[in-house]
Amino acid sequence: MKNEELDRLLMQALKEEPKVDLPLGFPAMVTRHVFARSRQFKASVAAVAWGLLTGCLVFIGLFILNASLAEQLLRILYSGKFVLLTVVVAFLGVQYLDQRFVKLRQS
Amino acid sequence: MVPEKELVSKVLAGDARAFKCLVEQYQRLVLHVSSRMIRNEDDLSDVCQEVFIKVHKGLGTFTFQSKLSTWIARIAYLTSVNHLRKYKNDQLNRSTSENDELDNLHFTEHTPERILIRKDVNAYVHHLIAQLPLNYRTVLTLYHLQEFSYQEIEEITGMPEGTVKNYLFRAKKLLREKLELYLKHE
Repeated sequence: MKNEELDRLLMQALKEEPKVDLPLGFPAMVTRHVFARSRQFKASVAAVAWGLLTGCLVFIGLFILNASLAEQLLRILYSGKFVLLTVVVAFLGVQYLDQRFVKLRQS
Repeated sequence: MVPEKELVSKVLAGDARAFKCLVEQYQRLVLHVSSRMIRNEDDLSDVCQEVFIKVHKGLGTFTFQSKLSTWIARIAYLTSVNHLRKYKNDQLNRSTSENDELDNLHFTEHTPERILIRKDVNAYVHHLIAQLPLNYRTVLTLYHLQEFSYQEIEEITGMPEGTVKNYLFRAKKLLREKLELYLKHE
């Protein structure tokens, strides 16, 4: 066999892709894995924000319908302000720590 | 194919579709680099996933001083090397040791696999490549399959350019000799 032919065969073999493959849908799987956690955190923050906004709207509605009842509700909520604040901060804190832990495990 | 800079800025802005596009664009590269080093298919998939997680995490530090493919290939190479170090006692990966002795290398010829690939030159060459030491396999893949330059291979693997050239020359010479013998016997 001629040298050129031998070189051609060798080059052809070296250029051929190995017969291995990644699982079907690998890009989607990795993207889900990378973005799922950060999305979850953003969704939690959004949920808290929506909750607060809804609460405000309900309060305004109540104030329009019955001002004294709204005032009474506000007084009750104000007396438990630290409890409410602690619940929100604890919820977001747990979400944040979860993020940090996952990132630390990945690095 | 989306331009590198556009793709990177979109990913950095938190665009999941752009990241998926990046994975689609570079998954073959990562697979080729890692598959030459890691034999176990389950491990291979995990390592490839780990590579892209690192790419996502480190993309903010990428300065475009090299090609994105070179940067990703380096991450794939280092992640695979780390994986091998971590599981160096694993039976499946044992043949991927970092032994650079090409002269004392003994190829297995009369295995059932060898009989199966008798008629296929490409399969025979791949069978030989799989038995080469780790560094030889890596530079062969990066140079011939991914068409990286010597300088880029130096950047990816950290081996000096002269060593890369030497590995390529010796590996190709050995493969050529083996292939010549193989074709004579067929």
